[in-house]
Amino acid sequence: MGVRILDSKKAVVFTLMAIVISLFFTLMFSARIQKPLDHETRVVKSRIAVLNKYMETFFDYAEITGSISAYSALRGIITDIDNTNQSNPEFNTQYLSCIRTGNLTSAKECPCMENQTLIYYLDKMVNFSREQLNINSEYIINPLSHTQKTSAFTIEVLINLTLKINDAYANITDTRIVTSSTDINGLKDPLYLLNGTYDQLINQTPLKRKEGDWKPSDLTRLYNKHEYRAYKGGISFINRIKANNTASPMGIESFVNHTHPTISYTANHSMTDYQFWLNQTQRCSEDIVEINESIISPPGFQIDDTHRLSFGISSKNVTLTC
Amino acid sequence: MNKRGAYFFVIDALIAASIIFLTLIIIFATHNLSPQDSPTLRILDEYTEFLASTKIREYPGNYTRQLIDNHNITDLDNTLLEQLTEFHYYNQTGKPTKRFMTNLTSEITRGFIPTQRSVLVRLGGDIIYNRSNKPMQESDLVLSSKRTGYKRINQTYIYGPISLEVTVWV
Repeated sequence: MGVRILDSKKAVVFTLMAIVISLFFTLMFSARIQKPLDHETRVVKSRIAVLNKYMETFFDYAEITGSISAYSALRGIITDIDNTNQSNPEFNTQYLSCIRTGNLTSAKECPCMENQTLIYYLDKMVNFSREQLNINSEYIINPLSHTQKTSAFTIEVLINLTLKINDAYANITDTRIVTSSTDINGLKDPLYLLNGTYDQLINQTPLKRKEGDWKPSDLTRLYNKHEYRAYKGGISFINRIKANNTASPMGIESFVNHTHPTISYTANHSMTDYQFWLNQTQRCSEDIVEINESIISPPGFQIDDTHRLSFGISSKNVTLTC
Repeated sequence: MNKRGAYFFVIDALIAASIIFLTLIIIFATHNLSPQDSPTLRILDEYTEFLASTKIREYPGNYTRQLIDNHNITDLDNTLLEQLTEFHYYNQTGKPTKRFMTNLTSEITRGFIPTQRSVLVRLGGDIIYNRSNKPMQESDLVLSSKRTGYKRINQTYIYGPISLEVTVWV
């Protein structure tokens, strides 16, 4: 009897072991996977990364739209000059107001600025982020300023901008100065508008020359294609708007079409645009020469001696105008 | 007794083996391998970042070269996202460029997101690319990422902001 019991106990050993192993497997695989302790932190980090990306996008967008607003505002101010036939000595303040709000003054709108102001564009981005990205943000435009330091054909607008992001996970605020560059190519030249008998668009020459490297053929090209070059003795674009006729390191110049039917001139005139339209005459017996037809045709194109030398034109290729 | 005892041992061993076998069968049959979100999320983030930061001139795709050669892409300094946004602008303004968007996105996606994963790319709300292995509704893991696209068209006009939404599911 005792032997039977012993045998039966031995006979269930494997079954008992199998049950224990099965229970172990079952417990192991059915255990719920615990989320790591930093799970919440990862979610927050991920959200903050999204907010940071939005912030970068906002400032990039502000830079591009700042440039668009700045160009439109220049066009608006030129249109105003064209409409009123008056220069704009208050350019510095009116330009920035035009960029920001689309108004030249509190009582006067800036032309061509509908849906072109900086506020319009930044509002658009803020609304987009709220509706599409579920990010609530607001911006503050701190004082704007403008400068012209890099090129005679570029104006830089400095936009001091603060962006505040209000989110359930983080509140982020950042203030940056965004530099938006705007090109003056394609705009009407205010000097021609105010003083000339015909209009001309600013068209920068693709020629890249240092002072002293200009050749006679370059003058031919500038004249024939109505192109502008940077010239330190010239009047800058901004000064042309203000009718401030002083030379500037950011000066530009073009050459008047002496064959235009509305043009009349004397032997004392140089065809350099600011000298011609501002009637800055010089002595024909010494300072003004006529360029030979081999360089500029038809004949009659006159230039002052300083410009003759700056284009490396030999005295053999010119004649005195009187 | 020995002969009888041996039977019991054999039967016991068979029962034990059956128990373990059945347990394993049940476990593996019911154990649902839920996909991990981390790799997919990383791929998604890297993909959208790649679109937003890689310039056309840096991207060596054959189809992209073809678009450049045919002058359908003119600004090589565009990022891939800017180029897609530009195509979207042209498509909205009457120049049919949807094919370019779809093929370009397909070329970029092919080398980036493994074929086991399904992808849907929307730009400005329009589906520009869809590679579906199974219906999104049946997936255990659907991840989505959004980026903002815009493109300056000329001196006085910018197209956008529009949203680029990339959805990946397994």
